[in-house]
Amino acid sequence: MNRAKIIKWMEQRFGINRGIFKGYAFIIKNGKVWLTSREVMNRELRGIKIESVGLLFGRYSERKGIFKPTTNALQIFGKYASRNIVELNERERDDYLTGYDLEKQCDAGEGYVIIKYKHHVLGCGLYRNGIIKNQIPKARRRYSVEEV
Amino acid sequence: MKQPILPGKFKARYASLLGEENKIFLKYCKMPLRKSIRINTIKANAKEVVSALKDKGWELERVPWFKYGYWVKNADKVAIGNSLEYFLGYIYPQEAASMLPPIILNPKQEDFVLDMAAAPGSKTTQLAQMMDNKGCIVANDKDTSRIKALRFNLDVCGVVNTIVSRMDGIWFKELKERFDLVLLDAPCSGEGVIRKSWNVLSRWSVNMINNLAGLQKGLIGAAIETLKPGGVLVYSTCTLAPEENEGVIDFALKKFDNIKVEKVSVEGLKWRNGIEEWEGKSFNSEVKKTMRIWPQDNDTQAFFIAKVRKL
Repeated sequence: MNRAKIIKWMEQRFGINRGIFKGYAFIIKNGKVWLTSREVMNRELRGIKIESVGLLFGRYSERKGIFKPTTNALQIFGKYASRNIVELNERERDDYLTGYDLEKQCDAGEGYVIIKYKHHVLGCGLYRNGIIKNQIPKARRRYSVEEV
Repeated sequence: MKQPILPGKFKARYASLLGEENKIFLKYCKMPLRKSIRINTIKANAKEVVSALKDKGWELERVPWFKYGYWVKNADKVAIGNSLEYFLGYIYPQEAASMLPPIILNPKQEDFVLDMAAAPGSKTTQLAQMMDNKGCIVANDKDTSRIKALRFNLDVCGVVNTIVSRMDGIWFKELKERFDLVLLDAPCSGEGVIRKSWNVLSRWSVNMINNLAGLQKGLIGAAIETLKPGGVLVYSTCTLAPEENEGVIDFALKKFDNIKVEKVSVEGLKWRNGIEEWEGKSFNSEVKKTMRIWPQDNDTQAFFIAKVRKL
C-alpha cells in the first residue's frame, strides 16, 4: 500500500478527485493508514514519543488486497464523492446509527459505500447481496435515538 | 433534589477570601452545571448547525466569550450525546469556562503548539479548530486509557494537524525551545468541577492539594523549558486552590528570570485578579495579572488561568 494506491482507490471507488488530497500526507504502517497535513511532517519531532499522527484514515490487508476507509475519513471526504453512495431515509438512518445492518436495494456496486442522510455523510458501509453491513465503530453507535 | 455534602474544611477554606460571599460560592458549588456545546467548524458550518438544532427544539444561548460556544438551556430534554450532530462531529460537549484557555493562548495557523496534558481532548480539538486544522499540535498525555479517549475525540472532530504523544510531561524539559505555544491545563484537585462531578469531593484534601502543587511546579518548569523565546504558555487549572495556582506561578517567577506574566482580558467574562497572599504566604505581585474565575461569577465551573511569556 502506498499514497498513490490509496488516492487511486478513493478515485475509482468513490469518484473523489485526487486533487482533494494534495495538502495531505499519508502514513502507512502495520495495516493502518493515517492522514495528516504536510505541515505536520515538516516539524521537528525528535525526542517525542509518538502514539499516532493525524486521523485514522483506513485499514488495509496486503494479503487480501483489501482497503477499507474509516467512517471518520468518509465524514471528511465523502462530500466530494460522486458514486457508490447510499442515501438513507430517517428510519434507516436511526437503525444504521444504532448499529443494525440494512436490507436495501440500491444501484451502488458491491463493496464499500458512502452512507448519507440528506447532505450529511454518516460514514462507511459494506454493500453486498442487497444488504448494507454496518461499519459504524461500536463506540460511535447510538443506542437510542432521542431528539426533541 | 439530591445535593453534595461539602466537607467542613472545604466550606471554610475560602471564607477569608470571599467573606459574606462564601455562602453564595458554596451555593453555586452545589448547583448542577449548565450544559454547553462547541460547534466544530472543522466539520460543520456554524450557522447551519445552530439553525438545525433550533429547528429541533434546542434552546441555545451564545457563550459570550467564544463565538462557537452555546449553552443548551433545555439540555435535560435533548440528548446531546445521542444527537445526529454529535455523531457527525458537528458539535462537541464542552463546559463554557473550559473554552477559555485556548482563547487566551490564541494560536495561529502556522504555530507549533504543545498541549501538555491533553486528554480527553476538549481543548486540543478547540485549538485545532482555531488553527483551521493547520500548523501542528502535539497533544500529550501520560495515561494510556486517557489517550484512547483523546484519539477518539480527535478523530470524531476530524482533526488532522495533531500528533498524539504519550510521555510524562516533565520530559518536555529535554526538548528545549521547541514550541511556539504551550498549553498546560494541569492535573489538579478539581475543586472547580464539583458541580459536574461530586466524586471530586471524595478525593479532596489539603494534602492532595499540596502533592498536586509539587507535580504542577515540575510541569510548569518543563513547559517553560520547551517554549521558544517570545513564546506563550497558558497555565490553567479547574481548581481554586492558591497552592495550585498563584503558588505555581510564583514558583515559576522565582525559578526563571526570563518569563513575565501578561495581563489578559476576555470580552463578556467576569473574572477576578489572582491573589497575592494565602495563609500567611506572600506571592510575587505579578500573580495579580492572572485570572481567577469563581463559579458564581459566570455560572460556570471554576477556573484559574495565567498567561506567561518567555522573554
